[in-house]
Amino acid sequence: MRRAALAFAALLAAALITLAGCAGQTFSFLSVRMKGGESGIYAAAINEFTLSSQKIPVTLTLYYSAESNDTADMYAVESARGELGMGERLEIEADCGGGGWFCARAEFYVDGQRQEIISDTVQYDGSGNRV
Amino acid sequence: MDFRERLIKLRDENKLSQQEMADRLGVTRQTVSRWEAGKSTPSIAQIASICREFGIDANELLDCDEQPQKPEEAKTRGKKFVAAAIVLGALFAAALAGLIVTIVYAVKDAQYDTSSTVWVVTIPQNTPMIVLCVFLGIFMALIAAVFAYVVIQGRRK
Repeated sequence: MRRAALAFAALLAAALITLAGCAGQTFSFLSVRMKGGESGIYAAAINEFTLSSQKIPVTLTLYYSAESNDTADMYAVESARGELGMGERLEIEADCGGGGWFCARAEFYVDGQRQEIISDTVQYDGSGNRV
Repeated sequence: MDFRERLIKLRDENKLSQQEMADRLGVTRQTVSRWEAGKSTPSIAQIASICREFGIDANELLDCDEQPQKPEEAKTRGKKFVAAAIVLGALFAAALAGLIVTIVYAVKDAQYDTSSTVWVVTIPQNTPMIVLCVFLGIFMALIAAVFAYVVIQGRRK
């Protein structure tokens, strides 16, 4: 048991050293969410969890199409840019436009490389209710 | 109370003289006298005979029901138990925290029509993946070892 405890302590120390070695690196959990409401379609990009102190630059865009759920046919109706730290969110809202297909996309940059998250495509009616 | 004293007590309780006891056991009075004086001890067959004749348990006569734990042994066991409890407690707390976070996240998720998530993890560019794999492997093996230890200890008890 004593050996196991020593091994456990050694591994914890190794983990801390590894984490220290990763200082300045990114370890984050990002999400992009969307929902409809009376005032319109709401989208948010959220930095749910991060270990590093640096903020992640994010561009959130809401796309819309009146006729198709194909993202290639959609066009941007709203966009915002911000830097997200732990627990911070970037929000945008767009008019329902008489109903149609919507999706949200968050572009972010890590180590100078562009990455993105795209939500599912959801159909809403003119009142912002999910169809 | 040693064997000699227990034998005397047994004879007294049955209100027997040494001769009467010797007669019931099929030995001489001198033999009983030597047992009670601690000069000799009965054989296994004679102990069995005493137990049969007076209707008592051999463990009771020999006083070997439960051996008290040696203080050092008890101390060592106590330390092992505390260490195991700490490790298991930490693992349980981590699992519980994970469960709570998952539930909170699921509740939050349900408030939206759609959501997508991504883990963004970057590591130092010169870190070989094999190092991370070995590290994770050792960590998982350690958890498995602690689990196996607890199961084995549980079965022994």
